[in-house]
Amino acid sequence: MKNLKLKAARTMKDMSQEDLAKIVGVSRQTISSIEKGDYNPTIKLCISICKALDKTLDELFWGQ
Amino acid sequence: MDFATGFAIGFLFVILLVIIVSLNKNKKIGGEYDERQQIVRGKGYKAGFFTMLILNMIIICLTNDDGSLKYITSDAAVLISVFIALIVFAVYCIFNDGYFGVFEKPKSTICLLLLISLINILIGIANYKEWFYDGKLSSGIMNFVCGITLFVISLAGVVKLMLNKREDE
Repeated sequence: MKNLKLKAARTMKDMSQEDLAKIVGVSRQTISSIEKGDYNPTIKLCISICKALDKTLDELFWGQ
Repeated sequence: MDFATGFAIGFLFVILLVIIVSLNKNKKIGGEYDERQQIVRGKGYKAGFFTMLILNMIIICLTNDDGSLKYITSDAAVLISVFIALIVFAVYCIFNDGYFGVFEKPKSTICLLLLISLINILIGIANYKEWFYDGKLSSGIMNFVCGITLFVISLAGVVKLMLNKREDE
C-alpha cells in the first residue's frame, strides 16, 4: 500500500526524496520504496523520518 | 612477469589498499548500507550461494571417474562457477539498489570497475595461449573471465543508472 501521507508530509516541507534520505541517513531508493509501499521500514527508521518531517508516528505510519 | 614478481606486486597493492582504507575510515566514502539495502544484500548473497551450489553439483555430475572433466579443467570449472555466482549476487543487488552504499558515488565505482575489467580482458587476450592446457579450457583463462565478470557488473550498473534517471524524470 502506498504511503501517501509520507509523500504529502515531505512535499509540504518542500523536500525531495534525496533531501529526506540524506537527513535520515538512507539511500534515496529506500525513501522511494517506503513511499511506494514496497518496503516496510523498521521502527527506528520510522522515528527518524518522523523527526525529520516534524510529524508523529500516528500521522505518518499508522491508521492507513 | 614471473609468478614471484606478480605475487609481490599484488601483495604490495593489498597493503596499500588497507592503509588507504584505514586512513579514510572516519570519512563516509561508501560501503555503508541502510537497513533495506542490507536485506537486499542478504537475498543477493543467498541467490549467489545457491547458484554456486547448483553449478558445483553440475560439475560433480559431469566429472569422470578419474576426477577430470571433458572440456575444462576442474579448477577452471570451479573458479568460473564462483565468478557466475558473483555476477548473480552483484546484478541482483544492483537492480534492487543494494550494491552501492548510501554515500557511494555509483558513477565513479562503475568507471573503476570498467577500467579493471578492461585491464583484465586485455591481459586475458594477451595470454590467450595459456587458455588451453592439454586440450582443455584451463585456469589460464581466469583473467579474461574476471574481466568479463566485472564488465557484466559494470554494464548492469550503467543500465540501472539509466533506469533511475528515467524514473527521476
